[in-house]
Amino acid sequence: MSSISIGLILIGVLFALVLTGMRIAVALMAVAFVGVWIIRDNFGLSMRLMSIATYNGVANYLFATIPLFVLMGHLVSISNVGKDTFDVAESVLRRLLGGLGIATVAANTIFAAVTGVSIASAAVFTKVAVPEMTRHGYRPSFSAGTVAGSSVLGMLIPPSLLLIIYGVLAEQSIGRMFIAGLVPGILLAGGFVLWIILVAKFAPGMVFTREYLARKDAEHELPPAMPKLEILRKLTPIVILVLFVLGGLYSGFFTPTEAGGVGAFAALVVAVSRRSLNLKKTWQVLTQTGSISVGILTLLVAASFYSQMLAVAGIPSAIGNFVQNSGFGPTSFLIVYVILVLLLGMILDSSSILLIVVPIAAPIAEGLGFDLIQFGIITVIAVEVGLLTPPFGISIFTVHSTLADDSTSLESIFAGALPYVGVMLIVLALVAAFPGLVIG
Amino acid sequence: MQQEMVNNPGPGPLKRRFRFVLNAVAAIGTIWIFAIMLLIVADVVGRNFLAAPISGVAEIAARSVVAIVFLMLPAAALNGSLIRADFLLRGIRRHSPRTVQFLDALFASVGALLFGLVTVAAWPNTYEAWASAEFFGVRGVWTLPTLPFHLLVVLGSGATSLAFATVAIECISQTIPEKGSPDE
Repeated sequence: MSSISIGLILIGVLFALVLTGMRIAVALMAVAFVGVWIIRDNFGLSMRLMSIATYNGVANYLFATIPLFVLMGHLVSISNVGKDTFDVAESVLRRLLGGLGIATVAANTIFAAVTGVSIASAAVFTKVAVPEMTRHGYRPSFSAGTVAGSSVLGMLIPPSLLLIIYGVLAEQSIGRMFIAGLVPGILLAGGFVLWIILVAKFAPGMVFTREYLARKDAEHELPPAMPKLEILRKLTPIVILVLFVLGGLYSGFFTPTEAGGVGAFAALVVAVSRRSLNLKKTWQVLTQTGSISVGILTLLVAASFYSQMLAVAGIPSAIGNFVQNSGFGPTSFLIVYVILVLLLGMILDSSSILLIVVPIAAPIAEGLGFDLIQFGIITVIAVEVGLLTPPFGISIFTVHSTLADDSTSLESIFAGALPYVGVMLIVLALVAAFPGLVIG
Repeated sequence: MQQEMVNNPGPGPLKRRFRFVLNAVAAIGTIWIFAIMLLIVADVVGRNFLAAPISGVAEIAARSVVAIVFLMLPAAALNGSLIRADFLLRGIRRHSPRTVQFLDALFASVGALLFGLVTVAAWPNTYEAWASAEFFGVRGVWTLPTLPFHLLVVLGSGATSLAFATVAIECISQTIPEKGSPDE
């Protein structure tokens, strides 16, 4: 049997193992180990490559960004910065129809610039925005769906863990990935806002509860405007954090890792100065940071070994040749690829999809003439759709469990988030059609 | 998830002690992340305001990532917090909880075997690092021995192997009915 067919069989085995619930890192490493061993018929080589992968796989300055940005996200989350941002957005947008929905998107967009994990945004804004929307007559399914939908901005607007992971796997500069994520991120936020405005105007029944619509014309009291000083006080911390991280990155003053370190430290200062940290909470933040980071970093160790196995089997070049000879154009390749990623998104978490797919797909895409930065943004948007699609939609799960309200079912949140999936697919198509959006 | 809690008879004293040790080791990794943050900030401040950069921050941060992984991995393996796709398992559990326990035991055994192999695989380089007093850094400016980092990989993967073995044994003991009712 040729090494390529062995490699393809192993990829199939990998899928079977992952689907039946094996820890993904273990599955990747086990398949890689057996793969190298069988293909080269050399147990010692397999051991040596595994030793190199474990010792050097994540020994990279760039990987230090991962725990640092996770730490920053957690510190920002507990220091009420998210709530303040939402309060200001609510006050500014209170006159608009569907203003609270827009406020949620706006606050999420700003918050996304200081956190790299969608789950953090989803948890924070479920607590902050959903009760407020419910109080003002929004339907629970719409509120929860909007929070879940706009939480995906956290992974597209830099800093973003997914952009870091993609950059490492496809050997692209993390700094350039971050810059590339900004315009599509803002485009996505704009699309969400547009959708909310349209649906609130033309199909208010989807946004507001029936009781609210019935008595809407009778009373229409607006909350008083927030004093300017209050706005200033509430926005200062997040503005400083955004300036530190994004400003430092874009001016080239900080490397991504430095931006992570300085950002986490600034978030710590904010948290301490607001007295939102006691000993117990500090420890909670640190242990959560640790457990999320080790999960992702272990996956990366395993993925580095898995990519080596693929290279040993000659899979990337074989698939590349196959794609070129079969007359597959770039467009049809991209369509098939995006559909595959969307399907995987229904069952796997985002980083695992990147780890399994990108080492195979990036060389093909490059061969077909794609810019790998643009391809990365397309990939990340497609992967993020998976956060919102059943049966495994981690953002939806987060919103549901944070809400802890039996009257709002998981299904209704999935339904509420569905329009945002539509917007994401449109933005994905735009990014694919107009590469200029990415190379900003 | 909740069903698992109900079925769990509670860990024995040996496992509790093992878990305590692994969690303590993971706590060191947690504090290490915090230390890296301080180191990077100190370097940024030192370089830009005091004209006194700290040399080797990038290399030390890079090596630290590996150390952090292997300090935390054993606890993550024991506590079952490593990422996996469980949507099929949830379906299977409804029909046959024993199938799920069998799969869990099987997969944990694979994990134990795999990380046992990592321990063995990492040993030759570790020995070499010790025998040749290998170091990294810039000679004459700053150097660190690589031995502790190699040792962390060996010890960390060894402990991970043990943690997976513990999980496997626990799953197997749960599959066997308590009253010892004979099968068939």
